[in-house]
Amino acid sequence: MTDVFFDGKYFGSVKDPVKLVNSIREKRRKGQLSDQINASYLEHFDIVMISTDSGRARRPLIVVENGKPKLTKEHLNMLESGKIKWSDLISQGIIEYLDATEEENALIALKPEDLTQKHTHLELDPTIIMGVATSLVPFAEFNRGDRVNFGAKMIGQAIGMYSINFPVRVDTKSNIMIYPQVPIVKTHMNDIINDQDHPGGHNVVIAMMPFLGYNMEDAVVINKSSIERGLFWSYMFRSYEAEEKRYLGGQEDIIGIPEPGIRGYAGEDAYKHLPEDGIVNPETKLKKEDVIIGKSSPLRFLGSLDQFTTGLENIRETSVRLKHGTEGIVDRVFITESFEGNKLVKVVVRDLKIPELGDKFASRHGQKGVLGLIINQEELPFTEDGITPDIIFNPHGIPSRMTIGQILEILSSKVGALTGKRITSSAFHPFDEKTIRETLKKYGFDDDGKEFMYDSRNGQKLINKILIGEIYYQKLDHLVSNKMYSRSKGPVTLLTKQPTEGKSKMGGLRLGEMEKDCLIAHGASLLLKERFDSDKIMISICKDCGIEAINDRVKNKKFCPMCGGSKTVDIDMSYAFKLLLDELKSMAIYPKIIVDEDLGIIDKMVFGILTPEMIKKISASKISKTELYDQEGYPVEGGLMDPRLGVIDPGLRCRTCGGTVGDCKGHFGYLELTKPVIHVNYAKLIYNILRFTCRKCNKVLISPDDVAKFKEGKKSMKRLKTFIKSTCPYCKEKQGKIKYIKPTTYQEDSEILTAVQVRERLEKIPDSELEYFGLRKMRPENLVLTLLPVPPVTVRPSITLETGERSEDDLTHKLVDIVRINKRLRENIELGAPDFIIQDLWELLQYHVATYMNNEITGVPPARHRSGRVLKTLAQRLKTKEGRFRSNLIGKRVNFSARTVVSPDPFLDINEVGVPLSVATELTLPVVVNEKNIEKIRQMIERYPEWPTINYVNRPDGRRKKVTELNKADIAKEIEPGYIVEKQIENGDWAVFNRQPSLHRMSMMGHKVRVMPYNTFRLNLSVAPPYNADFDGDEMNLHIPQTKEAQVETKMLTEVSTQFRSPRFSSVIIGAINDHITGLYILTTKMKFSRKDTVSIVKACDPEIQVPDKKEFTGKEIFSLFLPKDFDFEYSKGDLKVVIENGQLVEGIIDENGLGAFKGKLLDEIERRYGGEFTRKLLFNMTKLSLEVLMRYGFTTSISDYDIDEKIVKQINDLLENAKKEINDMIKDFKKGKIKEIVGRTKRETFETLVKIKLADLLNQITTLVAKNIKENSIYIMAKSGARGSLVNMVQCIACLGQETIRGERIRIGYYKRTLPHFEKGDMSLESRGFVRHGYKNGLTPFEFFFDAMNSREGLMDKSLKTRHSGYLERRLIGALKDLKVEYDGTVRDASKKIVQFIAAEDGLDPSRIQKGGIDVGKIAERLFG
Amino acid sequence: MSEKSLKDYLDELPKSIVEQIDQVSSKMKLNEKQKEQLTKEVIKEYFKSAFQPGEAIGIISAQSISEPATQMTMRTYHFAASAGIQVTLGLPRLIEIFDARKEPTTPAMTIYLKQKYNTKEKAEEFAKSIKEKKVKYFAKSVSIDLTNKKIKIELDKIKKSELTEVIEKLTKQLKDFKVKELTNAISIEANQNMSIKDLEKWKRKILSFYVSGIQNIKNTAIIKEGENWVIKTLGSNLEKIFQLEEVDTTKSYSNNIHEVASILGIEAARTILIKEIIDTLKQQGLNVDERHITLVADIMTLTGEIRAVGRYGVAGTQSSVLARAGFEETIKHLVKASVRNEVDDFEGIFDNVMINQQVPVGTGMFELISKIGEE
Repeated sequence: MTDVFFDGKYFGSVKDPVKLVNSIREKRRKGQLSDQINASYLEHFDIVMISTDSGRARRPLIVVENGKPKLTKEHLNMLESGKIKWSDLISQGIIEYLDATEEENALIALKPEDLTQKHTHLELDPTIIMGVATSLVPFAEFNRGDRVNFGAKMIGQAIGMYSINFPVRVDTKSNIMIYPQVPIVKTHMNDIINDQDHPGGHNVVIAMMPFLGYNMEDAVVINKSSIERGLFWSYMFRSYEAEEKRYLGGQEDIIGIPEPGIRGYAGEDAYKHLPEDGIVNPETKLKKEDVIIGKSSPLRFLGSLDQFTTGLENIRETSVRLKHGTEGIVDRVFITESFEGNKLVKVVVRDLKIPELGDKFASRHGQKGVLGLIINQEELPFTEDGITPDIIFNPHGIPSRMTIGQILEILSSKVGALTGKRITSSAFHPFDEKTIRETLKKYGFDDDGKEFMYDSRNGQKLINKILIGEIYYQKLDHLVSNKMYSRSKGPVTLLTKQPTEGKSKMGGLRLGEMEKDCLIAHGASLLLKERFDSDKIMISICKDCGIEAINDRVKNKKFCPMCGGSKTVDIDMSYAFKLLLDELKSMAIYPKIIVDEDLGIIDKMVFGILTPEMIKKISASKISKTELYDQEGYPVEGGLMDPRLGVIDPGLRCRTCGGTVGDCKGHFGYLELTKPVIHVNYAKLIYNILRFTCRKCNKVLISPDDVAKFKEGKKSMKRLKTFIKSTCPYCKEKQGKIKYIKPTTYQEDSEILTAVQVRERLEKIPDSELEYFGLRKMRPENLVLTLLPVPPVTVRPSITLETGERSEDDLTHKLVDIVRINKRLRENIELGAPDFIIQDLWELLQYHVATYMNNEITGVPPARHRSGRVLKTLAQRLKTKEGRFRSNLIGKRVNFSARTVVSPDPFLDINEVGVPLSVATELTLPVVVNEKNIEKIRQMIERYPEWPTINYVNRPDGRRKKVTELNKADIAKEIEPGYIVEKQIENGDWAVFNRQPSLHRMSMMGHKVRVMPYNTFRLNLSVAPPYNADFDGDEMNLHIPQTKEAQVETKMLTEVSTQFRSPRFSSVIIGAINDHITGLYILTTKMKFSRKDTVSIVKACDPEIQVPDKKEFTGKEIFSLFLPKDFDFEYSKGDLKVVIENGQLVEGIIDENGLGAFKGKLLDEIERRYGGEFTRKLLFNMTKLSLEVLMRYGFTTSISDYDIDEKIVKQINDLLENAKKEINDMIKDFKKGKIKEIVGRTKRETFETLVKIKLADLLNQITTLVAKNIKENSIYIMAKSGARGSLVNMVQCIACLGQETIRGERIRIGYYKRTLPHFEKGDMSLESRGFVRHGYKNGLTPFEFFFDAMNSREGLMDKSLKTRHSGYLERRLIGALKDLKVEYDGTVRDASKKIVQFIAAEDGLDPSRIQKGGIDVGKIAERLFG
Repeated sequence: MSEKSLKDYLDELPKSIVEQIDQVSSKMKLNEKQKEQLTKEVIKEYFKSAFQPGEAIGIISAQSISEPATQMTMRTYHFAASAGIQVTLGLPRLIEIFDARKEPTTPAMTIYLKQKYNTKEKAEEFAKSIKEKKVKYFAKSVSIDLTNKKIKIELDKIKKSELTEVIEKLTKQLKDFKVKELTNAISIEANQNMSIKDLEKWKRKILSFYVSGIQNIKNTAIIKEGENWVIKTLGSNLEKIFQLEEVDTTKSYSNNIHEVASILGIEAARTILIKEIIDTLKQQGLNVDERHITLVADIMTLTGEIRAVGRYGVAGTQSSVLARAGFEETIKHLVKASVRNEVDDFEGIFDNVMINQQVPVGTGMFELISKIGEE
């Protein structure tokens, strides 16, 4: 009997399951049952599944009966003429929908030709394996799976015409491209989704060539004239809204120009462009944070009397302003009514976005890149027909990503442009290569789309032809103007006094844990200190008590609240640390700070427990009231917001010390708990003390003989337990069994011990007994709280919302609960309430105090906010990544930082960084005015606002003034020596440049600032490898160190030239990449130049080099011109030998192993011999040289590079056929059981291993075949020189992909005993297990494509998984090794001065100062005597 | 330079470099003077390349190891052609090593044989003999007689002596059962009250009873390594292996670091630790200077026992309270410190970063000793 399940529930059983299933299907096809039903018999479970429920993924298939599809030509004709519809086909049982389970019973044919008697269904079309988005990628089967995936993702990000009714829509944010085009090359899906109505890109003329390095690492170069013609222009619309809200009590917001005198009035000037109604007019130009809608709202306090008064002081300005960092023109204004009937204003602001450096562009093949250069049409290369490209794409982007589809798109677009027809190339129905090439030929072009081009700088023809064609390009919604961001000083958060987060809030960038590690690795301690100064404060510490002293501003004296003494020391520390101290004190931990008086620094910190007396002493007020504010909205005395606890509102003064916000750091209060309460954090410890001490005499229950024995060994609780007696060895009292019920209850022999009893017991324990528990200098009874320290308001600031309502901190909420219950408990006791009520209230108090300390106690429901959000209480504030420690102390947000997209600039020196002008005008450096510079500074002030000028002026008395156009003349006159001005950064100032993740110290390096137009940070391509940066939209951070010490450290310790050698592998990490390597390779292999050309090339790179008088120069000779004359060097790698004698490259070719980053042996030697500075200059010049050469050479790639001789193709096919045959034989053998097992493996494993060996061998043969027969073309050059790609890439494109694997095995997962329902069960053949016999150039079949996609997806998942694990590994390693440093005696020691290594690294050699392997004595000897 | 001062200088150089100087001198037949000149030059070079005091060597090493870890593969590749033992590789293995797990996911040994056993035949024989054999290995079929509560195991390819041993062992272990020896079979009779479920459980237990070979050695493979026949095993049991006559105990090792530490001592464990890390990185084609790895190995073995890199190991036992709290288990460390009157003396890096005081590395390591008096 077979069980039948209906919609997942057991339904009954049946004798003949197949018959049941078949009859259901038959009826469904006849229309007697709903077409939504699926039935299947799963033989491996022996069950029948019938499903009618919703949410199953189903797909349509053509029904096949007796090897004949039911869908015929007639049907198709009828469909086309509209006589029948899709639904008719379903109701007639011609097409049916199968769910995944029913597919188990199906055998599906892909094409009608494949049909056999066994088949049950026929695929409609293989294209449907892809979704809507993926189907939009043309030539998808010619691209590697991950690229198709990226391509589909990016189509969704393209700026286009997303909707036609956009003029009447009010989206929060939207982009509209101004002149969108439909693609020349489309897929069927483009038609299906009506793409012609909302296209998202442009057809551009693309040239595939390097362009002076500006399009390296995915950047693209765009023709300036094309942009001026409107290429990729778009509007960004953003809507703003304001509502005239009505409040209780008849008050309401007013939309209109705010009246002078109200709170927050911004001055007449701010509202000058508002018409009477307070709403901007369309077509008004807006800048910075201009007011869009003028609005004023009533102030509101909870339960306040204010609501009846309407004085101006009770109205707040709440105008809607333009978002920080944006500008634009008012496009449309809508005035309407909200749902509640209030006046609602919506304003749409438009901003024209013309392509600029840093904007992100992408083709549909997953090739994204940032705009790297906008160049005049006159300076671009042109074809014989005079065509200049719109976009120049670097051929180095192709081989490693294997996007052959992109090349095919370029070529077929060219065909489309020539024939005037749009071309359709859906997946598996490609516009074939043969047609493309023949058509191109027919029109008189090369069949690979290459044309001769001319260098417009000198009119010379490039040596080789360049691929030029058209392609559909998209502008993605990642525009620099929305990303660029800088902050000098700005708003800070209320709680931590650290810079706020986020671009829109003028926040600072984070210098996180990893970045801090980098600075430490550089040894730049003062730079680190300067960076972390963003929350610096000064605190007075009592010399005796180690506790924060009160600075009484009224009496103008400092005194300790604990001992009353006035011996205090002023210490600088970060505010977050002070906050941490307060938070510790709130948890009754006593952090005693011992200061070094002479140095004014913290010397030690001793941890202890606060006693009730201490709590009382340090407190400024006793808390007893439950209300926070009185009716007037003022804080209640004796309440939790008691004015004696400090101030958080500007304008008010602290009642304890008389300080204002900022001066007063807050004061503790205390709450007298009606009944004592266990401190949860110590509950476990209390338990141990209770059960290990005598209940009568309070001694530890350890016999006097055992004492010595215990003290010998480890003093752990576990060990102590083994010595504990059940009767007291001293007073012979029989002990009860103490039970601990989490979190805070103790039982003795099933009787509950109250906190009072617990406290009493603890009190009686003599001091001498405490050492058994590892306790020192503390009394355990203090772990049962009788007084609760109430943290100052600065630790739990309340924020005033826009509406005027106050929103209290989580801690305050929790404290209110505690105070309330505490009060109620007292009242009940006073009233003589019954015991159980008191008990309940006491427990409730215990709960509140416990969750106040820690809201994540196991077994205790966490305390929640009214909204249901779990409250963040004391422990949660410190813990985890978001806690105080990791988020505010060892990493924090910093001032004087900027972040934007990076783009390449090969003509910027390696140690420079291009800084956008707008960033340079925001970031400043402090300059002290003196006699010598005063004139210069005056001029700078007068120049305002033109860069470089002064932003702020600080008077010696501490007053700070912003320079404006109005007051610049006055300020210029006013300044005198001693003033400190904040000068905008200029060329040559030092900056620390950083890309996250900061994995090694070279992720943060010192660069010289170079102020430039546009909005990107620009960097030389040679520093891309240490940062691991590319230009597909990467963003980087920039820091401007403010103090002189920090600047010196930036220059001396972190500057790029000092970082050539990676400490990881003792070789150069800064060096030549992609274009540089290809260029040098070509130059030193075969190039020859006339003297005239040589001079122009060399002078372009280094004008100081003298070119000898010689008619013709070989590439090697030109290269040698750059080498130092006394340089002798020889190296070999593989069969390549390079010899340099007296600064002349005598033999060999310069490739990756010469100047490349990571591998460059030449660079390595030069760095050792001549130092970093010299190497930097040499590398800079040589990279320029190679780019210049590559430009003249005419480097490109096209489909013809992937051509291979017909004969070889046949040989490859023969190899494949043979292998297939052999494997089929192996399968037969395996099925017969004739396979001989390898030791320790099953037959199946053995078989799989054998197949893998066979396939590996096959691929090796193909690889050798391809390697031998490939022409010396561009992809070969790139692979051979090490610039990009490898032999594997070439084979995968040209010949065959080979076996796709999941977790290292042939693809196995999917259906029962088969990968897809298109194969028979138990099929072990190559094609059904993910073997791909085609290369990308020939296109994959649907099955192959599917398996390739599986493999690609695994790769993507693997990557994301890996980063998590390795990230944590990094943190742990740092945690373990961070304190190790080399001491003056050459040893390595940790923080407690324990020696870890007697000689650092065993031989004392610093890997970042040596060549690989250490000091080669032989070499030195040779140099001396050889 | 006088003879004496040259010697003084040589004392400052590490042994390996002094050796190199001697070697090169004798090879190039240098005279004393030339040797002196060479030494001077080497010393110059050495001090140019030596670590400078204050270098944050720990952080540099940590970064140098974890930076390439980002490039490692997550999945464990199984090489198609290798017939050897498959062990965990890549990032998972690296994490496992730093975690100092008591037992690696794939414990493995590499056994070298003494010279006289170093032939293919002997190695094969040895490999066979050490492989762990359980009852299951000999069992042809197992059946449960539910009515009589009997488990019957039909045996195959078992020697008579082994059989008696098995019986003996089973009787010892199975106190509630009656174990009987039949011809080429064992019958085990259980208590009549035993439930069927338990019987099934026992069946599995009995099948996995160890009979012969060396415990824990799941599999063996023989590989020729240069001149030597080497036995690679899956599963590790150094203690037992080292007692065998054939084994070259000077060379054989296990990848189980704890095991090596307990049998060969902490120095051996350190060596294996370094070797395992280097092998894992090399296998992935990553290039990391050995100096960084030795430092990690040194800190992991510093106390004489193996400490993991993590909250229960090195990072959790550092001296600074604040640094510990900042790493992991914040509250636990603060609470402990407060009752034990612990002191944070701000000698470490993180604690100083927290208060934003100059950190005692690099340029922050030195202080001015004398104050410049006012005039």
